[in-house]
Amino acid sequence: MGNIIYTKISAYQRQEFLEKCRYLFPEMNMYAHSFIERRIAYVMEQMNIMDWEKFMESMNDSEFPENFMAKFIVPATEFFRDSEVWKVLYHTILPKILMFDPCVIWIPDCTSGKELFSLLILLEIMGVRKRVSVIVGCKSKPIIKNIQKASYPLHTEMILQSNFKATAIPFDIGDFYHKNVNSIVFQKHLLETVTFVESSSILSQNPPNVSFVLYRNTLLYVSLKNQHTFIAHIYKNMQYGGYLALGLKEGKSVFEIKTLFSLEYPDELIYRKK
Amino acid sequence: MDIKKSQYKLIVIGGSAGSFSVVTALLKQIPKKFEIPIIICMHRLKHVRSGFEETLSLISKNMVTEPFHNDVLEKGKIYIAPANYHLIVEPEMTISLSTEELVNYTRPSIDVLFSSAAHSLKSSVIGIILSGANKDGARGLAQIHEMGGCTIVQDPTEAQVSTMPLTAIEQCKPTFVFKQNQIIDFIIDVSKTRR
Repeated sequence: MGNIIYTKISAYQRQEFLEKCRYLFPEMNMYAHSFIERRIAYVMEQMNIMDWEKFMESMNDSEFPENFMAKFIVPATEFFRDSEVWKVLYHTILPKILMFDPCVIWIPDCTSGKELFSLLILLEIMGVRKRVSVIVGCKSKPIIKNIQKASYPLHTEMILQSNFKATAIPFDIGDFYHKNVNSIVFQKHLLETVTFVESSSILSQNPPNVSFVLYRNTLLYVSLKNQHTFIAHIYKNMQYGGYLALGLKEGKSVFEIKTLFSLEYPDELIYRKK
Repeated sequence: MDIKKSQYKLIVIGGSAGSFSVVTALLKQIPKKFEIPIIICMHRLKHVRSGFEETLSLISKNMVTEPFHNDVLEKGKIYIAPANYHLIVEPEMTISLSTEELVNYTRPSIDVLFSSAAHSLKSSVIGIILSGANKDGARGLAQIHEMGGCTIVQDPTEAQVSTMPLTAIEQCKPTFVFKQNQIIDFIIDVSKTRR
């Protein structure tokens, strides 16, 4: 939302947009209506287009899809966001999933790479990174390229340091990156076992034998009907006994979660496939 | 302004530095089975999640909860905006949570809560700004005012930190500027009209 406090396009404009982008962004229908309405208002502000007709015209530009999607998606907010979750992953979940053969971790909707690098750092500290395949779904090639650069603005270092410190994992996080003038750059070898998949929707990804799914704060933006579908799709791709981590405030209204998974860590919202 | 107290379906309260004592006084005095849902958005440290909800639960006669995404707003409940999520009120009286960009350098943002409530429930909203050290909430309160809702600002002479009330008064021209006790009396009175 940036500096925009809260604006929305109308339901009629939302419908007009969805009609026009049926082929451009077929996945757009999976989002909750209210999210689409406020997010398009945000994108218009970011593109400095205040007029709806001009925005609709801009959709004909060849560069529109890439520019639009880069602004539309909500980037993961922080490295090690919700430090208590990462603490449980480090001490409990990751050691358990290493028992799976093969050991596959799936991040179906990666927007900034911050959760990916948080995970890879934990695996590296544990000395097991090379034993784990990480499958990462991204909405577009530019997002994948950005993540592969492993570079983040310098101001993110403070949050990285403080969130990691809160996990109480005894390690110097500074060992995993170097600083440039305006950025921090993670060691690129961390990405060695990562496979990136360009994919507009989780439903078009079918990684086999997944043992752990990191899917945090994504269901917040999806319609309730699709929340059900996505959870069922995750279930289908998981090994028996595999784990699923959701955001701390989502998924409660998704009936499938209660029937397909048991809630093993209620405070951290980490589920296990029944 | 003509106040029809029975028109209100939701009370939204925003505060920052110096507002906690007002919120606790309010929650202590609000009677059980309060007729209107209340959402409180207070600036807080994002990585400190535990304790806040529990502390307020101990002093309130009504259920205090940090909502989940898609929760339905119910009377008799006090909702606390969770740390590090924006809280958005939807037209069908449900709550959406969001990790979208910071607003006024903060998440949750009072402006986001107030503006979404104004857009969704129009004149059925009471917005209240308490003590605070920044400007968050002023624009959202103005939107509640524009939509015909009732807007209340804590008297800056009484507020521990007056920046937030003063900015709200400047940007909104609120319906009332009340001292803490007047705010509490007004809220209790509004609830009585709905019985």
